[in-house]
Amino acid sequence: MARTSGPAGVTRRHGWLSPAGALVLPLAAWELMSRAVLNPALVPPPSVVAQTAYGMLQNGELFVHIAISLRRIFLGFLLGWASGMVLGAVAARSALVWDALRPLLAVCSAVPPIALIPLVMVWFGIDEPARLFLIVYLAAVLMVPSTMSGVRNIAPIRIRAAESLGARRADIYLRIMLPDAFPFILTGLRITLGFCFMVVVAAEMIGANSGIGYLIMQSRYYAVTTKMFVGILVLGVMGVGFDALFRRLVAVALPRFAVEKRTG
Amino acid sequence: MATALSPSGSPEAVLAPARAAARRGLPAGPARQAASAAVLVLLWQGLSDWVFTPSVLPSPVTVAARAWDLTLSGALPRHMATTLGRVLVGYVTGAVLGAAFGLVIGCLPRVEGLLNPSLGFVRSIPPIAFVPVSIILFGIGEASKYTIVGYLVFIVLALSAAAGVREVPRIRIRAAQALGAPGPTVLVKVILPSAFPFILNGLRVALNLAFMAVVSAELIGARAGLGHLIMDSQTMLETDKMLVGILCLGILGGVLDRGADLVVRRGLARFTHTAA
Repeated sequence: MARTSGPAGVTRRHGWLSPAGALVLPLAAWELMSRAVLNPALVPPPSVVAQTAYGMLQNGELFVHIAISLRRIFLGFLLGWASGMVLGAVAARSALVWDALRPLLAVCSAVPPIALIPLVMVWFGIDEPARLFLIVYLAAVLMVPSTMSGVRNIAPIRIRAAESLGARRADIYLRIMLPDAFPFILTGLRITLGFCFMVVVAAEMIGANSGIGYLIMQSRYYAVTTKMFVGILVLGVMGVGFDALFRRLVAVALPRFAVEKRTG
Repeated sequence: MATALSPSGSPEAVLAPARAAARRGLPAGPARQAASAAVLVLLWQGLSDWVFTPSVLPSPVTVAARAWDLTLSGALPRHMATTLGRVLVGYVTGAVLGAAFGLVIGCLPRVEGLLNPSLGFVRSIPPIAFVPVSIILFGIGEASKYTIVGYLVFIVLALSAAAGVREVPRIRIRAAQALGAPGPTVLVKVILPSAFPFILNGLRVALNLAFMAVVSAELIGARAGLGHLIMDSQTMLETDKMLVGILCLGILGGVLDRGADLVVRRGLARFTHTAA
């Protein structure tokens, strides 16, 4: 949205000062709060957290956990996304598949995925398959509805035109439906990635022996609050990073889909 | 394939094959969904009877019996009430404070410019990561649960209310000012209603997240609530009790979501279209 129309249009005039202040002021407030108001042993000031983070970067501890968490998120996400998209596309075109899928989907989308972590641990233990199953499941459940609404939104005349020109079914799926439903799929993708991130961290906190979530939980048991805050900050950087990366990818690789609504 | 094509992009396009199926004598729509649900439950029963042990997958009959027992003993209603109470207290507190905060910083562009990046950063941290922190600060009791839920709702509402203020047509504010309205009046009578669609949207998103946050908090450290029930059953390997907890969470979440939908559609319909 154009900011010029709103009252916030003023922020532009600050130039570089505003971003610098936005970084420095909250950190200063946190430092002050931690040293003056709260107990620094419980909520360590950012200067101490930064020191700890630097040490953990140097001995490689942080990279190991980050890499493990990232691999879990993306592997599960890709598998679940692909299967959810196929299921959604088929369900949007076939009422039989949709009717068969609907009761299961209704239950799955009502139950918060984090609540399934203990059950998945009973099934798979705390090894890698547990997380993989959870993330694939979650990504699939989230992708089915967004793919369906994308496919349902396709102007039927496009499919008819392709059919009358002799397109095969595979052509219709790949060349008409996929690009046409893509804006919806992208929106679903972004939401799904966010949820996968959330659930991976939860799964690592509740039952795992590596990853950023595990780092936070382990630091809690050993009462090393600085490491806990390093973990939390890393999660924030990862979350912001995902979002920025996603936007960048869409803008660079798929500029025609960056616009949300297109006419049929 | 051609049967799936109807003139509009409406659900009609999807329902056409169902009608074709009905002509062939197959049950369609709700009947077929009921059949699918029944098949699912039978499959579950079969799997638990012949493939898995009860501690891995208890049968639906066992789970239902356990749910009945837990209801009669009063444990299940108590846990449900605890979870619901935490969601509601945290949600209402966080929503009121967050919306007020968002409206105010939305009106102060300089302050908003300073705070928005940190709010966005904190928002992108999965709420469950803050659970250990809130337990350290506020103990294992209710306060830490209210804080987790309230904090998350606060951030979502602050961001959406501030975004709503940004989209208020400037001419409305100017008109009110030209007619001599003082600052607080403009905020309450012009900016709040104009920004309300955004706040409403934030409220819907926050409800789901609040539910998720309370479950996270209860799984990691609590002495009551459905999340605690689930975690407790895992330690004791009482998978039937765990499934009761999970299904109850699903029901509670579904009811909250539908309820919110209903309230929005019945009572707040004038705010649902985006600000113009």
